[in-house]
Amino acid sequence: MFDLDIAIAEWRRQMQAAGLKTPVPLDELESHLRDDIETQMRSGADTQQAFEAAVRRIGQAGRLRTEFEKAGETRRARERKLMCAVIVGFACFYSLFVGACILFKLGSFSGVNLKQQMSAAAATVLTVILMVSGCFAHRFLPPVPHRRTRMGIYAAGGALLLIWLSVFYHLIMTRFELGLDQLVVAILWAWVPMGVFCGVIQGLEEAARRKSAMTEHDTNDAVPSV
Amino acid sequence: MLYPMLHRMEENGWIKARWVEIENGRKRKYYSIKKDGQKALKDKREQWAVLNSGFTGRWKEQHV
Repeated sequence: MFDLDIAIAEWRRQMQAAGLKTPVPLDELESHLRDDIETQMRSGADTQQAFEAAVRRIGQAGRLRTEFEKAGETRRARERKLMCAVIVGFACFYSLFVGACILFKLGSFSGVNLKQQMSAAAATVLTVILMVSGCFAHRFLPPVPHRRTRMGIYAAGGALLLIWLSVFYHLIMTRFELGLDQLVVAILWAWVPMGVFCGVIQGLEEAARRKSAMTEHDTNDAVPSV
Repeated sequence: MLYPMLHRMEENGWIKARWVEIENGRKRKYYSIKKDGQKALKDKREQWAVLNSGFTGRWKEQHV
């Protein structure tokens, strides 16, 4: 005797096994499946036939998973754009603010000589170039398709950056008697790894975006279903 | 595929969804179009109209 609830539970299990794990699309698909079965049964089909036809129409699990992943990709692309905009915005602010301080000898830069001005400008330019280098550096970075792995890399990079800054402030700076003019230049050079960090984030995100766009292109031969 | 497409439109902010409880405890998801969606629909319709008139013109040229 065919039991519809058992058959639907088994269909859900197969969908989950194929990677359609998030409950929202699966609940929605099940709701559609039940509606379709009811419509067919009202037209005279028996329960098993209606179930089998509805499952065929809803499509294969692998294909559905790929399509739902593409839908999620829209949100991730928006997040990536926002992250790149934040990095580029910060790079602009940093270069303008520090550049003006160096050029017009404002604030802590009032006592710097020409050589220190040039050194500070070099450190600032290098930091900013490294910050936005991700736009080009993605070609030399390996694509990391899993978002969690990338987040792990960023967390590790952020932790390394914090360790470096605390080593710089607590160990290196306290051992040398630096005047304010030397200190500000040294701080600007100490910030250069931050540029590397931002560049790596941008580069890895761009490499992942390109990789996923290629994969999407390869799997675009759609089979019609709901 | 309809449902991934609906999810993509929801991610784009074109439509919104809500679950409604129907008879015997079952739930059904209803989608409705948002202002941004109406604007996107209008843009797409205009694009389609331009494309369609271009093809129709070509078709008539070749078959007159």
